[in-house]
Amino acid sequence: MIHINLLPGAAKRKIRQELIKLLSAAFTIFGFTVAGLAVIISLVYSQKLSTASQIRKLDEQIAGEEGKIAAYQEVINETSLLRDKLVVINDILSKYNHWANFLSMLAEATPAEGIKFITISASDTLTMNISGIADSAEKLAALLQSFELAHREVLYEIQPQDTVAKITKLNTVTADQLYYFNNVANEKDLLALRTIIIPKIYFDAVDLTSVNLENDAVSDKEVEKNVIFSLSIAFREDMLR
Amino acid sequence: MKIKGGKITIIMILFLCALIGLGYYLNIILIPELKNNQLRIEEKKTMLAAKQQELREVQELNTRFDEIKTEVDIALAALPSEEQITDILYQFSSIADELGLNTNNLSINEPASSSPKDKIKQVGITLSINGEYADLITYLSAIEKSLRLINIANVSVSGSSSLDDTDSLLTLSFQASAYYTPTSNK
Repeated sequence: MIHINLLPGAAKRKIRQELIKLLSAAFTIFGFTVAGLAVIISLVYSQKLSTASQIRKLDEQIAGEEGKIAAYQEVINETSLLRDKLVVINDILSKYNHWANFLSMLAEATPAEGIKFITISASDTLTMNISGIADSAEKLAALLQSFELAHREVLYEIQPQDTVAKITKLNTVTADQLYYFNNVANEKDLLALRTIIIPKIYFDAVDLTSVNLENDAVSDKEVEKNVIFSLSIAFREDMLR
Repeated sequence: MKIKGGKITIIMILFLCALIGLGYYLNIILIPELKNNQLRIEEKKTMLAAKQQELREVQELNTRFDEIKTEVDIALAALPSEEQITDILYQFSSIADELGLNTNNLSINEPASSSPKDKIKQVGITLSINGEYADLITYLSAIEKSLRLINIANVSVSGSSSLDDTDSLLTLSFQASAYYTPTSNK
């Protein structure tokens, strides 16, 4: 097949010149792009080198600080020992029992006359067994009543937003106990007081587990009977703390 | 014309390859490395600041070293690093002597259940002592307030069963634990 270019010579030259222009423009753009990219890469690379050098410098500084800290090793050891001991000590103290207080409170809660305890056995499981002797049933009844009411008093200033429900919840005390110990009939009267007594009750439960009457002295006219009893008591943690 | 066109194509391909290669190096290798370095710098700076703070604290502690030593001594008295059973014996009997109380029985033993890995170890103490109620309370109080931590788990007090007998002494018995933290903590 024969191709015949029918364009005149001038037109051919024009097209060739335009093609050359286009190509040179394309090469220039490409060239600048590659050169620009190379410049960017060199900048980023120099930044990378600079950051690597910064890291080395920081490593040296950290090592220097560690060296200075190591010079105080004795202080560090002693402080660490103290910290460890204090953690354990605080843990033990949080569960520390104060039986001297407990026995003092028990003595306070016991009527002064007509009652004698033969054995008292109490444990940190908050239970206590008492066996004893009362010189009459009335004395035993007085002991039981005294134990049920046994408490220490904490004064509390009423806040504007207080309610009886809130106070009882925070202090493990019933509303009736609050009214009784503050000599009031209801919530309104209680909250009207400026300062109230919050009774920290000693015993949660006082159960008479056994009771026996014993002839103490027998005469023709009168029979006096001692009462031998045993109690099972659940006491509050407050008594030990 | 055909030869010239081939050259141009080759040059164009070379340019393209150069562009792709440089782009790849920049985006896939260089920039992630730079970002990684920047992250590491931040981490190192944080670490350095922490070390500087630690050093300041240690220097501050060093100025109170005598005070710390005293506190450590007190802590060691409360919670020694060894059982120190003889100290417990001495402590119990000296308090009893001071109050004129008669010790019936005092036994001290390390519970068999204590594992070597336990951080806190206990020494079991069982004691029985005679005295008046008030003196027994004073005795308990002295034990509870002693520097060495001794926690009493349970107590029992027993006395005469006669209602009229108010002179006879009471017997106090209790089980307690003294604690120590083995030397490996030091």
